[in-house]
Amino acid sequence: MRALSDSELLTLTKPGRYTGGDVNAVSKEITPGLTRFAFCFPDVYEIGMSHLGLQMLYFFLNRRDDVFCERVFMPWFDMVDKLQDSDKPLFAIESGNPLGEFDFLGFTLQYEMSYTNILAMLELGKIPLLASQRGDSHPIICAGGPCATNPEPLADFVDFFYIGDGEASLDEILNKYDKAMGRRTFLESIARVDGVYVPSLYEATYGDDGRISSFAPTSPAAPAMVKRAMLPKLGFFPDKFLTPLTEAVQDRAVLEIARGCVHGCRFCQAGFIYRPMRERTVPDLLAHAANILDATGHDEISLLSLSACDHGHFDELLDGLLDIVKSRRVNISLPSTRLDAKYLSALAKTQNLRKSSLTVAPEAGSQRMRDIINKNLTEQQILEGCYNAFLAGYDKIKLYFMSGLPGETIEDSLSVLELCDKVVETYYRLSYEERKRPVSVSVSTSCFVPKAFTPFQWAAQAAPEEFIATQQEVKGKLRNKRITYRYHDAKTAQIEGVLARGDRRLGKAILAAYQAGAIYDGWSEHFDHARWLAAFEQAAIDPGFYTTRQREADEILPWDFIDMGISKAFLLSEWQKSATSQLTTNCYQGCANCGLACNKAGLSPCTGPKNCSSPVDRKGGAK
Amino acid sequence: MNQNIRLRFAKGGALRFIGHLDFQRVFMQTVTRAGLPAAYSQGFNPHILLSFALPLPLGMASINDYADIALAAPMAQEEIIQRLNAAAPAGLAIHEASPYEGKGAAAITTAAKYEFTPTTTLPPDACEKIMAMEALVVPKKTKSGVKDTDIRPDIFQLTHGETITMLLAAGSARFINPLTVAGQLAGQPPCPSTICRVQLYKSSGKELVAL
Repeated sequence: MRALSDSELLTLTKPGRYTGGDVNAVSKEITPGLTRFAFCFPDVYEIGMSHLGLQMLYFFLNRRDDVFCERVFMPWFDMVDKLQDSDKPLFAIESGNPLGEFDFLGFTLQYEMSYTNILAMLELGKIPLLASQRGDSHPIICAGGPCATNPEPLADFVDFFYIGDGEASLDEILNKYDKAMGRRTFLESIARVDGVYVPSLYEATYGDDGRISSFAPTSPAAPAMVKRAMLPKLGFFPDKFLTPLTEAVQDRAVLEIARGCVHGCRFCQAGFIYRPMRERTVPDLLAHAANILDATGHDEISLLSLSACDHGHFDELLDGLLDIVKSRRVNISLPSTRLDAKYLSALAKTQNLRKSSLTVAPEAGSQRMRDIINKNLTEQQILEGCYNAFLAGYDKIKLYFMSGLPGETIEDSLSVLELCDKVVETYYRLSYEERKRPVSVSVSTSCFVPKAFTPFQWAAQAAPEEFIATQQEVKGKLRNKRITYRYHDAKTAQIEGVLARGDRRLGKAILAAYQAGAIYDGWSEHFDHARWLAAFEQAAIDPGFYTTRQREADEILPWDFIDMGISKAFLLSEWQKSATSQLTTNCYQGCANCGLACNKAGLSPCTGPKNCSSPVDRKGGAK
Repeated sequence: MNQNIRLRFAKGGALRFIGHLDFQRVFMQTVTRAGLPAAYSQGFNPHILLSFALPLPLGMASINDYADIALAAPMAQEEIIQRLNAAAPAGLAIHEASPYEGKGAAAITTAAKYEFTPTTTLPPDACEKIMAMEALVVPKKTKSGVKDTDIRPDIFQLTHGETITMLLAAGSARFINPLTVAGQLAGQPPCPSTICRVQLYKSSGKELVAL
């Protein structure tokens, strides 16, 4: 069944990426009535196999007898060459069948810089790149994931987007599918399903200034507003995981303890698009943990959530998990969260031997900036957290910051160094005996890219030269030998920014970049900024229009037709409040009226734990 | 007291396409899923006490391969085999689990037998020719670079039947890559999947006996 011979496979650096055989992989008899779905991950196997969404959807879809979900990853360069040279189509791992034999190809959109890999995978699968060029014999191309919240840049290539929780509407879509149906008929039949957006059924017009002047459906089958698919309550969780034969980047079991976040950090897309926070119950989680550990043999389990310690029954969960892992010799790994007492005590419980480095994300150096982004974290809390971490034996701290946040001045940027100096000084509050090694503070600064459905969706992004000037200034002022300063590539951030808030006119530029050779743009060694600028020029796109231009409040944004549950009025008021450093309460402290109306909609109300550890709003919860 | 068990297993299928480190991890996960009472190493990163007789080159299958495992509690041999097979990925089959004493499989392995199925027809006397040589000097990769090495002493036996059977030095003291020898026979290095390792041997006096 395999498309390539042994000798062809053995010339590749890691043939195990393509040969399958993973523990718990599903195999099904291929019958004419079976709906064939290929989950396509637009990056290399080791990264895709570390992704929880893949594991969830793979087993969610395969729980149906009438559907067979297989996996396809972006082949590495040597495999791309091999497929092209031998003129063989890209194939799915499980059956070895070419992509063209599938009913659906479902791409996950985790990162804008993987868009060119989607085109590469289609072309390697010998499938026409443009939706308009595909006929009834071709697979239906769909795409979901966080980047689908602004689907427009990919509108030319994708038949339908899926926005929201996968478990909510995928069954309904598959139930409506019939191989005998023409593709247009099928797409029209699902256009009103929650979460479905069929770009070919809509039309955008533009004014002389380049801004969108109208955006509306062209077919009565399509709704004016696309409603995000949402699960009121989390249910399905796989009882086993695919366990790769060749090591994944994160080779461990992952337990999704909650979806959504109660905090409203204004830069954070995940914090808004997954609202409200929905928790799994402790008994469910413990059963899931035991199941996946028994089914995989993994020696590590990681808790996944945007803010793990905010789980209402976190302590109970952790104690239960400790019981489960003790007999199995499994380590628990916690995602980094707020460096508070609760987190440190959880770390102490789970990592009794190995003391590695701790990660904290203050996001901004000055209190003014942290208030602008509604981080709700004071310098005192950061330093107190570090002090307690040092006391507990940690001597390496990683601090994450963002540069180019709205309203940021050079003083704000330089205050990152002041804060780090204070972290180093905090270490010297320990007694001489307690200081086993010199402290190491490592600073990593990313370039802020405004995203859709956040209060900063209207904000101007800093230009690459501004990012670079700031990075150089900070680097030049760094005197403390205990601090290492790293920063992300400003040029990548520019392209990411264009794609993140772009409209459907960008399709031409993405195609041009791909045709000029762009793949694996998310890998710094394969990213070519000049190639992208040339592609923009070819497509008559001004990158500045999409990045450095601040949007007006009344502007039609490319993603305005999506009803995320969060109201635009709420996001706008958050944007306006940020300008005067006003804070907003988190869901535990009090409802900020974001538009979801959790109580009315029958969603789990975010009342929070009885002994809520989230810091109390210093300014008294402005609304 | 740990119970030392030597496992005899076969490896093939998709497992041929993963490297030795990956295979070790896959095997340990299989032991964990099987729920064997494995003994663990001491130290900061305790791991299952499991060691393999001889790594297998990428692409090759193996019919009689060996690994040693230490169990912290006794378990019947049949149960060990049955549990491991129930948990094993496709391509891995456990045939035997027997207690052993003394040195581990890696330390005692001295020779390996391979079956090579050439994709081209070889001269009928290809094996005899090499066996008749006093010396066979080939460039061999070592830690300090490529060196001309006489590999003839490492070739114990070559026989030409339906396939070509090669009995070669293998182990920590002396080792010759079967691809090198097959390359000498065929005139060019063959695809590793044309070679299958059929047995591993230890020395017993002047005899070689299966591990």
